[in-house]
Amino acid sequence: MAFLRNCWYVAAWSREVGRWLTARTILEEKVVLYRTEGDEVVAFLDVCPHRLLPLSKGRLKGDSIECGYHGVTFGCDGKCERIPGQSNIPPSAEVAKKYPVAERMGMVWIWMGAPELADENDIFDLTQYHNPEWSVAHGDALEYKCNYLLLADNLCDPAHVTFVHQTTLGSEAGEDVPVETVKEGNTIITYRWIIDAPPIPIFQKFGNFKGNVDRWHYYNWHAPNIAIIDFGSADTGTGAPEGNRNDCIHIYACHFMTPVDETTTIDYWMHVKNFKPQDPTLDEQISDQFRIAFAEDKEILDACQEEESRGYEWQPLRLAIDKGSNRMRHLIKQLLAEESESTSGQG
Amino acid sequence: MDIIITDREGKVHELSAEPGWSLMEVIREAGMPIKAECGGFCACATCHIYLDDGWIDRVPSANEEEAELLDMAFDIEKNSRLCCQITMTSELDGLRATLAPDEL
Repeated sequence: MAFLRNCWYVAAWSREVGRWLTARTILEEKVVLYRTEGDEVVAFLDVCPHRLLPLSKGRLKGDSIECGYHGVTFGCDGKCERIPGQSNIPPSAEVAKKYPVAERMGMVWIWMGAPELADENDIFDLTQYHNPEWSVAHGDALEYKCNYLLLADNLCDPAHVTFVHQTTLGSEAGEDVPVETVKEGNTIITYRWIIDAPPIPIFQKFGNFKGNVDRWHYYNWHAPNIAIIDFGSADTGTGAPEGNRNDCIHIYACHFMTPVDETTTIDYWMHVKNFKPQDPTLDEQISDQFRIAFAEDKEILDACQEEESRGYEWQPLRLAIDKGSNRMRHLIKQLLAEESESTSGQG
Repeated sequence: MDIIITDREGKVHELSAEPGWSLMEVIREAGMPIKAECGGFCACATCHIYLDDGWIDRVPSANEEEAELLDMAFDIEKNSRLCCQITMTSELDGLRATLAPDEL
């Protein structure tokens, strides 16, 4: 199955890229990243064009990479600067591929498709990330042993929360509340409201609610690799469903999915919340709750992938709760067709 | 009103239908083998049928969600529909349809 290439993927947390060589596999391509002395992030195909040793096995010298095999050296523009043992540097001596990169929201984004189509304005941004009234906690890079579409299924699917995240994000009150799905451009929104129910465990810990709450859960999936889970609660009767969120707890759990290969996906996750701005202890406590929840997702999705890879001869059951996932997968199908059409058109 | 449904073996069944029911419910309640796994929520494509004799042009057309599901389903023809999305009205008296093959 093909991956969409003409879009921005997260390659690493900004904190992971520095004055050293960082190796990543993204869409089955090996990539090496580093930061120049001028603080610019550079990304190349992680292969020396001579004997194909990964450049990440070499050394960073100033702003250049020296191959660890024969010392062939490439500048941050990708051009060869030095070939030990010969004075001639042929024009063909350059890295095989240089990727457009940019930094946003504490992450390094990479464009894996046609470089001339890369536009930094297309990189996803969350307004609240920059709002001083809100606080940001960058989480981890969690490796799933599953195709990114299984993770995307999960992130278009509020119905699993009751059963998978019983100690953190779910409550029995949500069990039978139907899920609604709408499509807006390249975004699929799957959502539900659970009215007048006890707060979920994470909000019992951090919400200071005295009674029942109205809880919303909007899964906003932005094709193909970003899911922003907008969830929160307000005291029942304060008008949250009608739009009054003045006194509420509100969290954006953000997932940036990067396919490594067909059955491996990295989920860069963070959360952005509207209370106690920048309290690192509280941020870490909430992150720990998410760590529990996402480890639960990982256990399930890795196991589903194992069975899917086994290949059964029958069609899996499809249920009413699958609507968000259906629309997500149809949009992916459509975008892949469009991309392959535009590529063949250019060729 | 009556509708005519052809099953996968080619056998023709005359079913009586009530207005307000979905075509899927009429077929399912008659005991015909239609999976309708999602129960009529337009989420599974297992109530796929072909509308016969030009009936495709006489029922309201598929919405975006149904069109997407049909686009991902198997054995799709120009007269394919998901019958949970067709509501019976008196105008559909005499409608003719054939069950699509069961997906593996």
